Formats: sequence, structure tokens, C-alpha cells
Amino acid sequence: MPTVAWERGTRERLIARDDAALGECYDQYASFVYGLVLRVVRDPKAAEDITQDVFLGLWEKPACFDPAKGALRTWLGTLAHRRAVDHVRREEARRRRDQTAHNRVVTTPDVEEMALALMTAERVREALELLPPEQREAIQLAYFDGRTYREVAVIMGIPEGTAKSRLRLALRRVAMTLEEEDLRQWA
Amino acid sequence: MGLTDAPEPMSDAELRELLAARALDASVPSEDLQIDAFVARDSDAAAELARLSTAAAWIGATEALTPPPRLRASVLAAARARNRAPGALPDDLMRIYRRETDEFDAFVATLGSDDLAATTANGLSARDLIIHLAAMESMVADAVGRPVIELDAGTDVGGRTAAFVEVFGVQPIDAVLTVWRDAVAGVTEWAATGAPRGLLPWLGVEVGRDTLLVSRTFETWIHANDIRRAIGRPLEHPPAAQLHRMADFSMRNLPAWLDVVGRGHPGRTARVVLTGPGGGTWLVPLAADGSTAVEEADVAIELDVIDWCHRVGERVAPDAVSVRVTGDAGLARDILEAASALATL
Repeated sequence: MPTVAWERGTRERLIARDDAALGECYDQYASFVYGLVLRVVRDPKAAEDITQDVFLGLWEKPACFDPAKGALRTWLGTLAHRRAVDHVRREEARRRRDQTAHNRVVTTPDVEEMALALMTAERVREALELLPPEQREAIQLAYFDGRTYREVAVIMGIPEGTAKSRLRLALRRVAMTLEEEDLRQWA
Repeated sequence: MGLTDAPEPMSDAELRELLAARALDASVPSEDLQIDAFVARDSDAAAELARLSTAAAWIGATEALTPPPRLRASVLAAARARNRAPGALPDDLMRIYRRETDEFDAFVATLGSDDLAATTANGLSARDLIIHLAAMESMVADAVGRPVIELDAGTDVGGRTAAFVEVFGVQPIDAVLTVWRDAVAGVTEWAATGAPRGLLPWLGVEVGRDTLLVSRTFETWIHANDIRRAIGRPLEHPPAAQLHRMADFSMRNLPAWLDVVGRGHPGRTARVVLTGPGGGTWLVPLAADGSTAVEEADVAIELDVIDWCHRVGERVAPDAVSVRVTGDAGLARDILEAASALATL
């Protein structure tokens, strides 16, 4: 995984307007950002635009990323997902389009980091599959379909409180998986 | 920005239940302000949101997919186009100005409404101190020919700040931050694109481009720490290289500052040793009359570089600084007095 020292150094280089640093960030995280955004917006052109906006956001405000508060992956993922959801909510009519077939091939130059990331993502995928179906559906609706918890409640025919708790339980299960994974990698 | 349907205030327990939804961007937009304010004041909630946000990002990572190859070139081209100074910034002064203003922007984004209401050491609330910075930065933007706001607020520091507070004190903080960001962008653009090397009027004196950039960097850092101090957060300091540049700036200007406060000593010299990362040793003539420093200094003073910078910003009194003096103690006192000659607030 990229170290905090690497992330701090990259942040300083971005602040100094070193565009090679942006290129490195892109190589490291573009597949993650693009795949996530495409999964939410289901429109390759929009996914490209949003991916570009995410990296330009990092370029223009690198100081907003604080390595002490979390990894760059989380920061980019949060930004990417928020923009993707904003897009979906604006483009409601297009939201249900068929997902373009896509493979899961990932290529980036930092083989070690991405190998670890792929393994972690696989553990997360397994954790999602092991969730009770009603929790998995709630995550699907909220995270990938851009629904609010209130909409999740309506769609699933459950009280809002139940929708909130399903999301919470599911996300905590994933967080625990990650924490176990983190321990395993450093063992 | 405004709420169209202001929600009912929620209890902390209710807000805590919404953290997962917030991490998934599945909370209701009209409730987000309350959730974010809760997270800002409750460290456990902040930690839980960070944990759940990481989990959400990894759920996203299960969908990783290589983007079309052309996108990389497109992103980098767009980044270069947005960079007002093609390539890297042309000099270290612009870099430290950019770095400090970026840090300030990111820091302000972490402040909640309670933080903004906190009273800082100079009597202004954190909110009003941010407004003061916008008043000053926009005055620089005016001075360099890139005005960002039509407000007849003058150039007196206190009067201008008061005029800005009257306008922006009742608005969301984002309103004045927009002015501040525009001013920073204007100053950056001016400095990056062949800024004239001549002098500019600034606070009643004539200053050059480099002096202006360093003094703005200095003030931005000092005020960020004023706010941190007021809300009980640890102070943060620039990297050593930036501190050294700022200390060097103060040493170059010290002879003039001694004259400004009426404590110049023509023909005499001080050796100033600043300790700690970013420190160094300077031989400084003690008046701006054209005399040069000599190796045989009349006084040597040694103190921590951060203490010196705080003295320049007038965040510590001359007699409260821990300093080792060898030689003429009167000269040492005058140096410490003059260090804050340009401090404004």
C-alpha cells in the first residue's frame, strides 16, 4: 500500500504544481475511480468526465487531502462517488441504462500496490456476498444506484429506521473485513 | 446556498444512526449540514465516519476498471491548462504562497459553527479573522491590478476589516471565502505572469513583489494558528524550507523595520542565530542607511526560529521570548521590538 510518507510527498509535489505527480496518482487510482464512477452513472462518457473532474479536483486543491485523516484512495473514492451520485440524481431518467459489459482487468504501474488492492477488493466482494440479502440490496440501492436511505426504505417497503440500520450493519461488516485484511497483510 | 426545507433538529443519537448513510452518500441533502456539524464536534463520530467512508471506498474498488487510454492524456492536458503558470510555479516564493493559502483553505473547511464563533487572541472571532484575511488579500489583489470585489472599503486595515465584517459577517462563511480565493488566484496569476519588479504601495510603504508574497504567506500562517489556538487545536508550522525563506525575508527587512520603529543603529551589526529546522545564521546591519554588516558583530542573539517568526507576527511579547544574548543587550531589545514592525493584527 502507498505509505503515508509517499502520500505526503505526493501532496507536496501537487501543491508545487508538479504535473508528473498528478500522472502518478492517475496511474495508481484511475481504474479505481473510473470503475466506481462508471458503476454508478452507467454512462462511459459521463464516467470519463467525472473521472477527469476528480483528478482535476486533486490537482487544484491538493491541500484538501490530509494524509493524517485517511488514505488517498478513500479521499478520491469519496469525491468520485459523491460526484457520481450528484450526476445520477441530476440525470434521473438515464439512471437505469444497461451497464456496459466490462472486464475486471486492471493495469497500473505499481504492481505491488494494485495486487494488494485487488486482493483487498476481492475480500470486500466476498464480504458483500456473505451479507444477508436484504443488507446487500440496501447497499446496492444506496451506493451503486445513488438512492437516499429514505428511497431505499420506500423501494424495499421497510421503515426508514430499518433502512438506516441495514446500511449501518452492512458497512460495518465491510469495515471489519478490511480491518481483518489489514491485520493479515501486516502479520 | 440555502436550505429549501430546513429539517427538524436531530439528536446526537439520531445523527449517529445516519453516519453510514452519509458515508454512502445516501443521506438526505437537507440533513447533511446537521450530520457534518455533528461530526465536526464529536471526535468519535468523526472516527466512525472515517472508518465507514473507507469501507464505502473499498466497496467502490470492487468495480475497478481500466479507463479508455485517451483519458490520461486528457486529464493531464486539462490540468496543465488550468495551471495559470505553465509547468511548475516559477519560484519558491510563489510555491510557499500557494502552499500556505492551500493549507488555509483546507483548514477552514474543517471548522464548524462553534469553531467560527471562537474568540481569537486579537479579539476577533475566527469568522471575523477569516473575513479580515479576505479584506487584506483583496486589498493586495487591488494593488496588483486584479480587483475581486466592488466594495469601497479603503486601505486602512481596521476600517477595511470592519467594512468587510459588516457585509460578510451575516453571510455564510463560503461567501467571504469565495472573495478570498478569487483574491489569492488573482495575486498568484499576477505573480506568475511577469509581475513587474517595481514597488507597490502596501500599508503606507513601498514593497516589491517578493516581499508582498512572503508577507501574505506569513500572515496567512499566523492567522491559521490564531484560530487553532482559539479552538484548542495544536499549532501547525510550515516545512523547514518555507520557515527558512520566511526567516530570511525578515532578516533582509530587519534594518528597515528598525528605522520604522525609530530604533535604527547606523554602523552597527547583529549576528542572529535562529535554531531549529529552517533556522540559520544572519549578519544584519542595524539600520537601513546603506551600511553593511561586519563580521565583528556588536551583539549576537540566538533563539528558536518559530519563536522568532511568532515575534515577527507579534504573537509573543519581546520580553516573553526565550533568547540568548551575547554583547549589547540594548541592541538585542531593539531588534526584538522592531521584529513586529509590520504586524497588523
